[in-house]
Amino acid sequence: MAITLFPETTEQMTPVEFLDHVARNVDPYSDESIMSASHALAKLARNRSFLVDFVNSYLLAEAGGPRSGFYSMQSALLGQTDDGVFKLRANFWAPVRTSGRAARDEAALLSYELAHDHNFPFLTIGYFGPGYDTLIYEYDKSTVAGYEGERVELRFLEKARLEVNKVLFFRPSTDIHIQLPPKSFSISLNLLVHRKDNPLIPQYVFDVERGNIAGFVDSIDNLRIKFLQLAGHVFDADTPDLLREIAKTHRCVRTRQMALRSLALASPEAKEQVMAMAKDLPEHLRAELRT
Amino acid sequence: MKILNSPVHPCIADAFTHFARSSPHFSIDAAAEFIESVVTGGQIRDAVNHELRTTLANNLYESPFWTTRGLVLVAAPSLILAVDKVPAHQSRVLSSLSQDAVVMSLTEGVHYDRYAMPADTRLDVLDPDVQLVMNGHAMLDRGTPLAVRAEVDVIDFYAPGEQRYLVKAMSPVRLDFTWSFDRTSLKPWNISGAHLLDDQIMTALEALEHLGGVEHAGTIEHYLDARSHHVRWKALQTLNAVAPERALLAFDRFLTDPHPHIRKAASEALN
Repeated sequence: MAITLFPETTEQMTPVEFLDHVARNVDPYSDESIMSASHALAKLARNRSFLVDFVNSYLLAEAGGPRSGFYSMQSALLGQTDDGVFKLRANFWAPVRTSGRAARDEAALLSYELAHDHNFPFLTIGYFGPGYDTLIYEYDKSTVAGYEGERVELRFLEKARLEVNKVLFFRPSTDIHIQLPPKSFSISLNLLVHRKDNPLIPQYVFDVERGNIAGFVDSIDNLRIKFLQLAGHVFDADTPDLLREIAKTHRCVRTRQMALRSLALASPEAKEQVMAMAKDLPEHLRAELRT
Repeated sequence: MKILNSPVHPCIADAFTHFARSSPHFSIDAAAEFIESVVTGGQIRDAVNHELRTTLANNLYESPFWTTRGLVLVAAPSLILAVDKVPAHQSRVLSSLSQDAVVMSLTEGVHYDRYAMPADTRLDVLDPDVQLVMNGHAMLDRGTPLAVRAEVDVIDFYAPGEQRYLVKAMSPVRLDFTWSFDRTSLKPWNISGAHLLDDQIMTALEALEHLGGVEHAGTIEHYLDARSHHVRWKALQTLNAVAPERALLAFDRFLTDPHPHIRKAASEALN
């Protein structure tokens, strides 16, 4: 299950020391090793000055000049290791109105109440405020083909609150969570771990009521699929050969399937060849192709 | 819109350099000419093939140009050029564009409904009685540029049952706010800021309110003169939390703020 940890420490760390620690000591391919960084993360969370200094510097940046850090309304990148494998992020969690259309709009805008997994492991700690509540489920990725509407056996694990100094570890492509708005403004710190094959692994959105895959998070694999779809409509004489090669060789099965779909559009005379090449695809993807 | 490390796709770079030299400031006519040149000149198809070749060479390629709707090919301060998928259905909510734009369909079968903001609408104040004016429905002919004016036009593109794509050239943000309307009533749904930076600044101010202290009052006061009234008001609230005695001085000047909602709130707070 998603792992909850309460590391105890009286020491403090700076973000630079924290990233140096994980770069030296953490194996990005070992969940146990990543969890062992929870003590260092707790030391960072005990440091009450670095984040306010970061925010203050961000706000003092010259108007119209370059500002570094925030890359969305809610998230700021605080630093990363030289190889980009480990990233340290702060997430700012705003409460939303409790009822009405505005509440629904705000929840959607801030990505609350969306059941999703992650294709990368991450460790998170509460830094300020009561923390968001999260409903945690798990699934067995070895039983999932990975298409929209597919039935998936979901197991409810727990409802947890990311309080200050509490650490949660989310297992990649296993834990599913639904974040609920905090009672008041809250901040969490995340250690995100990039594994080499992340760009090939989908991130799913789940419908926990129906127990199925409701769609895909727009991680890099899904953006690649959407781009390949575009190539079936915006192409020239060189495009079909490129799509054919991608359909033959790409390591991502959904990418191969979308390359075939776009090949059929860009080169209608290749339809028979497309169906022949589709023989290597899983049945659900072949069925989609036939339609 | 994502911000790219490299703001121009290599296949568009020459055409964009030429455009940027001849038209340093966005104009609808120049943007229409630019779109026509990159569509008929084949640079957009070249960009698609370039992305396919790179994907073929490296399965792990994480293109900075892929977006949730297609491709962004130029993300320069003076112009954004993007290829976007057209929604299959009419949207429930209609949104105004805060940028001038020129749109060209890359495929047949794109429909659009055209609406207009009523003349003399004050665009920075949400007025629930404003009602969009429907100005008709049409098909967007492939290869024909359509101009969309910030502050005036609300255009709803859709392509029932088929995958269709548009190429859009957009100006820098002209209007700080985006209005959303309910399709049925054509009345306002909400008004939101058009700049991600403003939202980020408000989040940072919120964080400072909780983590900071009186020593940060100077930073906060810097935003009492922000262009966006949302940011000005957030700065005043933050200042009031960390240094109420300094906020009291600021309340006075907000009595003459250009935005009526802020004048009213300041007046209520002082009374």
